[in-house]
Amino acid sequence: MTALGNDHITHIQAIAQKSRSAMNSVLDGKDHAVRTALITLFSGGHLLLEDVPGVGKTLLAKALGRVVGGSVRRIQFTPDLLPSDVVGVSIFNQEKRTFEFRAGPVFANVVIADEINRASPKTQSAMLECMAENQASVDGTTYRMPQPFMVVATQNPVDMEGTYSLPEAQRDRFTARISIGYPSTEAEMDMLDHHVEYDPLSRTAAVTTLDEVTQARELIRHVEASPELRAYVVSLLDATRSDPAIALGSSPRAGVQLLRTAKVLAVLAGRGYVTPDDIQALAVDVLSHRIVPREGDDPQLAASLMGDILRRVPVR
Amino acid sequence: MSADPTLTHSAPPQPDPQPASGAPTDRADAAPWIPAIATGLAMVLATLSVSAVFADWSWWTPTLVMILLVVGSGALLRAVPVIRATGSAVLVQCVLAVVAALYLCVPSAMPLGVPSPAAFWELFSMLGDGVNDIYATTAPAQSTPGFTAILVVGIGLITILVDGLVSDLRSPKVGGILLLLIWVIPVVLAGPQLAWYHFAAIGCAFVVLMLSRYLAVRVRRAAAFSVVAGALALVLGVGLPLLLPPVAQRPQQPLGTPQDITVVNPFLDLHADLDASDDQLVFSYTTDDPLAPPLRLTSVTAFDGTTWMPEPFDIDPFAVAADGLPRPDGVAADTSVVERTAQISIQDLDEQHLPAPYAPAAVDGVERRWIYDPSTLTIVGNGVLSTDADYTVEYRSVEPTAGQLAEASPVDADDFETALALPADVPDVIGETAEQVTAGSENQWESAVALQDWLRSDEFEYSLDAPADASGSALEDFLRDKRGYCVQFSGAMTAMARSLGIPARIGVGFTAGTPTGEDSYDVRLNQAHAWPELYFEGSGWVRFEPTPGGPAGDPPPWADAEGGDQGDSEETESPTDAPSNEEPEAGEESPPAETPAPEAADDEQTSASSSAWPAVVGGVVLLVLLAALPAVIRIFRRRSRLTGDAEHRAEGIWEEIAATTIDAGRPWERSRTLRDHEQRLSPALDEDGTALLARAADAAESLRYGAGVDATTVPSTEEAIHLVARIRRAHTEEMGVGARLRAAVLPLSLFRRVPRGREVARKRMSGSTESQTKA
Repeated sequence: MTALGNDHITHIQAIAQKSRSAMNSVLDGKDHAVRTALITLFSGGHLLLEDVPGVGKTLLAKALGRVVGGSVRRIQFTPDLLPSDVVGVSIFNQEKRTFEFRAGPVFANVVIADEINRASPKTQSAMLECMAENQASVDGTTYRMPQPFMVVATQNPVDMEGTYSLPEAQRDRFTARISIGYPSTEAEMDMLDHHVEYDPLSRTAAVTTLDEVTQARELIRHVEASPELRAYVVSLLDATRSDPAIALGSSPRAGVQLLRTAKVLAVLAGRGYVTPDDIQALAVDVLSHRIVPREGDDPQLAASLMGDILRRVPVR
Repeated sequence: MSADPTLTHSAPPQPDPQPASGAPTDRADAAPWIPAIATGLAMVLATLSVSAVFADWSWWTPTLVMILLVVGSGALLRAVPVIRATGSAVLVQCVLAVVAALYLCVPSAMPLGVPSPAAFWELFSMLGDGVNDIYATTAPAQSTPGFTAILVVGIGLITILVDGLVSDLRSPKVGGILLLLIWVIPVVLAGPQLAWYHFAAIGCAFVVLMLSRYLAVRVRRAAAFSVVAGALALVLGVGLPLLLPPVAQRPQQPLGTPQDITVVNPFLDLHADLDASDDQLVFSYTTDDPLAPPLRLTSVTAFDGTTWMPEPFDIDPFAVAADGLPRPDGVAADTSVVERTAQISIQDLDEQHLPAPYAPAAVDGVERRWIYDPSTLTIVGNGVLSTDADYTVEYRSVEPTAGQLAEASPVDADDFETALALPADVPDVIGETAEQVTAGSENQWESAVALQDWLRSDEFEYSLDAPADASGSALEDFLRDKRGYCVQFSGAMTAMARSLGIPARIGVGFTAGTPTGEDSYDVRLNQAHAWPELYFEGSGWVRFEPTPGGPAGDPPPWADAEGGDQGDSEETESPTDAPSNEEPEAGEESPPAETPAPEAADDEQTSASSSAWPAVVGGVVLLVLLAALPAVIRIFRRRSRLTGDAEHRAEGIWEEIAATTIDAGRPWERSRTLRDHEQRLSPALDEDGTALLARAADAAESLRYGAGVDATTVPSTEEAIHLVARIRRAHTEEMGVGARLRAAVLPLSLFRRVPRGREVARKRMSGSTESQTKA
C-alpha cells in the first residue's frame, strides 16, 4: 500500500478526532498534551511527560491506552526495580522440565513508565532498549513487542530529590517531551466536582482498534515531504548545532522523528504533504529535550532557545 | 511549573518585531565597488566610440573627469549602508555632477570659484551653442566648448543613470540601453567616420556592463549568459542605425566656410549664392499669382550699423505653422487682400527658414516643428531643416493701391523702434542723400517711390563686384560708387527710408524664378534676392523693388510712380550727384574678412534666446524621469510577477505581497510560513480579500510542498492585482503622508532582497523524482 488517497486521509482524521475528543473528556483543558500524545502514537514514537506529580501524567497515558483499545500496563519505577521486573523472567517449570518465559509488564500496547527517573540507570537502559528495538532479549531468546507499542514515560523534574536524570542519549529515544501543566481554575474546580465522585477513566471506551492504528501508521509514512521541506528541517537541525548558546545540538534521529510527527500533523490537517507549518508547530516539542543549553539543562531554557531558532531560520 | 506559552500549537512562535540580524544578505553587497568600476569602464569605453565625431581629443578630458567623479562618488556613497539602502546616492551624484559641469564647462563664469545663477545661464547658453554647432558642422569636427558642454552634461547624466541602474537597482540590462543612446551619437553625426574600433569600444562597454553583476560572484553560467546578452546587444547596435531615418546630408558645403551659418542669417551669404556659377535648382513651385512675388525666407530688421540680422524672437513651440498664421499686422479691412496658394517642392535647400510668399496664412505638408515668428510671419524650423520639404502655402497677398499708400498717415515711432533704428555710427550721408532725393515728396509713399526710382535710375549699375555686406560704411561706398547688387540696393533703400521715418526692413529670399510652364516656376540658387519692405499704416509691410538688375523683377504695381496721383519720375533724377560730391575719395575698403565676426555675434544672440529653455526643460524632464524610474521599474516587476502561467502566478503573488509589505517599510520575516503570513494579513482585508489570500496560500503551498499546483485554484491575474491592491491599501492606511510618498517614489523592495519563490518552484520541478523515491 503506497498511495495515500483523500479517503485515507479523511479516515485517519476521523480516527484521530474521535480519540482526541474521548481523551479530552478525561483531561479537561489539556488539548495540547492530548494532541501531542496522539501524534506520537501515530508516528510510532514514545512520549516523555515531564511535570510535577499529580497533574494527570498517568491519567493521560491510561486514557491513551484505553481509547485505542489496547492493553495498558504500568510500571512504577523505583530505585530497587530490577531489569527483570520490567522485561520479564524465565522461570523453570518443574512439571515440563523447561524454562518458561514470564513476560514482564513491558509487553503491552501502551506502557506507562511512571517516574522513570527514579529507577537505576541499569533498569532504565533495559527499558530504553525495548523502546528502541521493539523487542526484548531474555536468556538468548528474543521476544517481540506487541504492535502498536508505545511507551509513555513520566518523569519528575530533575531537581527533585531521589531522581536519576535520564542521560541525553536516552532522552533522544523519546519522540517528544511535553509537560501537562496545572489545569486552569475552571478545569480544576470541575475536576474537584467530578473526579472526587468517580474515576474519569471508567466512562472512557475504546473508539478505535489496534489494527486501525497500525494501518494508519503505515499510511502516514507515505505523506509527501518535498526537497525544500527536508532542506528546511536540515537547516533547523544545523541551527541547533551551530547555535553558540547550545552545548549539544540535535541528532540526525531527531530530524527523522520530527519529519514523522510532521507527517501525522499534515494528515490531521487534511493534507497529503508536509508544510513548514507542521514542522514549526512540532519543533519545540520534538527537538527541545534533545538539545543541551550551555547555561544548564533546563527544559524551559531549551524550549525558548528552540523558539529563537524557529524565528531565525528562513523558511524554504 | 506551567506550560510554556510557545508550546501551543494554535499559536506558532511569534517572531520578534525586529528582523533577524543574521538575515542573509545579497552577495553583491560584499563588493559595492565592483559595479562602480564596471560602470566607469563601460562609460569610458563608450566615450571612445564617440571620438569618431571629433578631430581632436580636447573634449575627452572633461568628459573623463565627469565620469570618474560620478562613479567614484557613487562608490563612496554606496559604501554607507543607509545611503545604499535608500538609493539616495543618485541624488547626491546629481548635485555633484551639476556643480562639476559648471567647473568643467564654464569656469570663467565663476570668478570667485562659486557657482552662481549666471554660471548656470552661461552653461545653458553653451549647451545651446553646442546644439547649433551640431547643425553647423560635419564630422570629424573640432570640439567646440559647446560640444564639450553637451558631452560633459549628457554623459554625466547617463553615467548617473547607468550607475544607479547597475549599483542600486541591479539592472545592468536597462543600463545597456542607455549605452546604446551614446552609440547613436557617432552613428548619427559621423556615420562615414565610424571604424571597427569605435564599434569594438562600445561593444566592450556593453559586455563589461552586462558582466558587472557577476564579476563579484563568478558564476560561470551567469557570465556566459551575460556574454550572450552582450552579443545580442551588439547585433542590436549594428541593426539600430539601419532602422534609423536617413540623416540630412548637406552636400557642396565645404567644412568651416561661413555658409554653415546660413541657418541663422540668410541675408549674409546672398553674395555667395548669387555668385554661384552652378545654377543649381533650389526649389520649384506652382502658383497662379499674376504678381509673381518673391519667396521670402525671413525679414531682417535689426541693424547695428555693421550687420543686418533677424530680430531675435521668443520661440513658441506651439505657434505651429501648420495650424495657420495670424493676419499680417496693420492691414486695414478695406485693403485688398487676395487669398492665393503656392505649391512648393524643395529640391536642394537646407535652410532653417521655409521659403513662402508674403504673408503666409497656413502651411500644409510640413512637420509640426515648423513654427512661426508672429511679428515677421517668418516660418522657422525648430530643429528641422527645409531639406526635401514638399508643401503648400496658402498666403494672403496684400495688394494695396497707390492711393491707399499715399493716404497712409505716418506711424507712431514708438511702435517701430527696431524698424526705424539707425545707429549713430551710420554715416550722415545716407540721411542727407535721402532728404535730397525725396525733396518735394508730399507723403511717405511718394518718398518711398522716389527712393526706389532713384536707385533704379541709370546712375546705378548692378554689379556683383561689391563688398558682401550692407554695413554703414559699405552703404556709404555704394552711394558714392553707385555699384552694387541687391544687398546694397535694398540696404540703402531701407536705411534711407528709416532716416525719413518710414519703418523699413529687408526681406530675404528668392525671386519669383524662371517660368517653366503655365503657373510653374523653377528657382535657382543664383536667384537669391533681398528687397526692402516698408510699413504703411493700413497696408502693413509693403514690398518695393529698388534693384535694377540681376535676378530682380519689376517693381510691384503700388510702387510704380504712374500708379500714384503725381508723376515724380523726373524729380528723382535731380539730386543725383549729391552723395559723391559730399564724400571725397575714400580708400578702397573691401572688408570681406570682417564677416565672420558679426556672424558669430549673431549666432550667439539667437541661440541664447532660443536654445536655453529647451535645455532647462530637457533637464527638468530628465530629472523627473530619473525620479520616476524606481516607481516605473516597480510597476514592471509587479506586472511580471502577477502575469504568466498558473505556477508563475502562484509564486509571483507571494513575491509581490512580500515586496508590497517591504515597500510599506515593514519587515517580511523569512522565517514565517505562508500560512503564518496569511493569518497576519487577513485581519486587514475584507471577506473577498481574505478568501483570495487563502487561495493564494493554498496554491503556493501545494506548489512548493505538495503534488503541484492546481491551475483552477490559483488566483487569476486580475484577482491577484485586486488582492495586492487591497493589501497595499491596508498597509498605506496605517502610514503617514511622507511614508506613503516614499513608498510610491522609492519602493524599498527594489533595494532589498525579496524572497524569491520562483527559485523554490524551479528546484521543486527538478527534485520531484527524488522526493518520490524518498517517500
